[in-house]
Amino acid sequence: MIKRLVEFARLLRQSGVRVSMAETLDAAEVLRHAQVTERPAFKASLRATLVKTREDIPAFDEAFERFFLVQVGEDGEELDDPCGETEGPPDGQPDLGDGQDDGDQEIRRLQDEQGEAVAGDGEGDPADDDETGELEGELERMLARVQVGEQASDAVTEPGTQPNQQAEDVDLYQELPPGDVENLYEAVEELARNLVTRKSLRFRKSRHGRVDIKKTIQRSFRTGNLPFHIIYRHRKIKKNELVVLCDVSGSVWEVARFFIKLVHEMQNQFSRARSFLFVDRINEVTDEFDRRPFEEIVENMKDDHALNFFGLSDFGRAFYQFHDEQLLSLSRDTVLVILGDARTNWFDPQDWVLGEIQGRVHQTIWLNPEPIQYWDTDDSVMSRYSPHCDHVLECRNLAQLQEIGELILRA
Amino acid sequence: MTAFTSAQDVIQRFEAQQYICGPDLATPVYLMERLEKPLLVEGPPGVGKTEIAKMLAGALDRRLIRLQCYEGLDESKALYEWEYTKQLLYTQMLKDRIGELLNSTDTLGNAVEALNREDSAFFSRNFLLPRPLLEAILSPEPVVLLVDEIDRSDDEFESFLLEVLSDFQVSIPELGTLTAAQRPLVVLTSNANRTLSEALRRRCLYLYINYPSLEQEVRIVLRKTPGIDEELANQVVRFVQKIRTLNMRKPPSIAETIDWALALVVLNAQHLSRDILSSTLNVLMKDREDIERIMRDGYHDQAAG
Repeated sequence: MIKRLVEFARLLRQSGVRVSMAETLDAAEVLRHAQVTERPAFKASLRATLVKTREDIPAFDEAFERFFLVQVGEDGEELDDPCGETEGPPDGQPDLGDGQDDGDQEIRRLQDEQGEAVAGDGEGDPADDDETGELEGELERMLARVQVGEQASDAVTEPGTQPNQQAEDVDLYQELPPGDVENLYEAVEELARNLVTRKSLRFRKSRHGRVDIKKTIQRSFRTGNLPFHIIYRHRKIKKNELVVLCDVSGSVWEVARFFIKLVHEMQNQFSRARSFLFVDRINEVTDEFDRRPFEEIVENMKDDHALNFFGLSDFGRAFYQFHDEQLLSLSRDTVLVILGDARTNWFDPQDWVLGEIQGRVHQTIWLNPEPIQYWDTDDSVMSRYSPHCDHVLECRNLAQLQEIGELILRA
Repeated sequence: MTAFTSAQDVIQRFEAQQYICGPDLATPVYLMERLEKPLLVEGPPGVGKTEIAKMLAGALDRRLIRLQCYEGLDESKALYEWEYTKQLLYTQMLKDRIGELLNSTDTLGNAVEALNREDSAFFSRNFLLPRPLLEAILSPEPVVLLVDEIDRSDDEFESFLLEVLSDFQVSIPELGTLTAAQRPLVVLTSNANRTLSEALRRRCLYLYINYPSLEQEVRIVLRKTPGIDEELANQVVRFVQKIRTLNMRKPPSIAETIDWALALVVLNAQHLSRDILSSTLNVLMKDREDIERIMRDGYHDQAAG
């Protein structure tokens, strides 16, 4: 039984669920204690011990169905269905093929080791008066059906079910199929949650102020010079305001949507998060992002004459307008993030405007979704703008997005 | 009351307290009690995560101790604090007694020694202010400890909690190590605002609760709303479940479904109509834009149909 469990745990690991040894032991413990006579309860027991995040539940369900519910069919034929995505039925798994016998021996060995009563002679023959024996017999019967399933289990070694690890390398600067976009959104959400975890550390430290001797003594005058109330010095960390300025022309927005998603997920880490989109003029969309998905907003913008979606990007003009309209709303707590490829279509870059803006804000960060070797080719004027930015970064995959997230939270 | 005998027993005892659940929920609850392991419950807001701890306490007739987590929660708020003010007050009041005590000593060294002997008087349980965690550990009878919204606390606190949960003992420098007489049952809830550490997850049994199925929610509504017509309950739940799929800013929770059903019963509504909807929707939805959107698109027709 333990062996089956270990193999099930291995199958889970193959499908990207992290299962530790301790958890497998827990599951074994659970099956020993619990009266697991029905399939739903059996499944729920395993799930409670082996799966520890919501994201892993579908993978668990799938693996469970495959591992435990496979009928003892004639041969592999029925199995092709549940594991349709695999490279076909695996051949040459002789050691697993007769796993049933191994399993029985294993159980006997384990039971002997633990000094427990050996439950009957084998499967389907539960010890009469022993509750545990009965349970194990039931499990045996359940697990007996696994034999064929196991063969199938090996076939799932390779499917790409580890989205998070792979997602890191996906080039965001391209058109992605909708399914991938969904996965990436989820990856970005998780990224944001992780970033927020780290960020909270900083707040924590600042809260533990030292004793404010002066104020404590002042206060003690009220209580006959006895310092009844100890007053702590609070070093306050102010949250930054985040302003995102995003070029939505061309394929920049393929990347922009992930970045904006990230910002959105982290928004309560800032005192305020504002977003502007531009092509040749800027357009504030802060409230829009609360309400609607990015795709829909972009779709709507195509009809928005003010934005001139199909026009040519004009960074200089957009910056000038931003300078004109928003300069006064910027402050020393503002972190300005610009997302764009710096391709000005040969218009005047007006980089001095960015310089003035930089003078007003806490930090300016430029994210360029183009590969670094294309910067400053043709009409890209990255090097004109970069002197006015505190950081200029390439932004085209999740690993970079994570670095950027950290940078912004630290800013 | 006695321990649970099976997951079915959990379902029955919870149902006796008007909490309806299936084996998916009952099994981990049964197991946590059986194995004395903490249970980590995740799920969207308003699906009854916190209720589980309350039901558990009710079903086992144990006291519920609740620790509400928030950003910046630290040990002194969760575990214990010395009552500094009380200590100071006692020192003041006992000044004369201390004087007397020290009168009999001749040298400074002796005085210090004499004082040292009494030292423990000021760092005794009398001056210890137990916070929820310590309270749960010190309680002579077994309790249910609810650590609510653990994802709001900092991860430093999380690792500290891990330490406490693993062996239920706390060392207080002045007093020594205090060990739990009875292992409390621990329920942790999380809204998944941030990722909890692997270590914490490993220690716990895990339960993810989602919104209930149509049948289950209808049963809940029927149970919690006396006098509701079954047809109306069906309509209400179908409407609510439809809304939950619509990506609202604040999706309605189970509690809100029940509130709404109650409101409809009070207003003597027979079925969902546009008028009824527009006058009662604010019981269900708590966001102006959501309400506007629902009224504009008129989903109630589908629910009624």
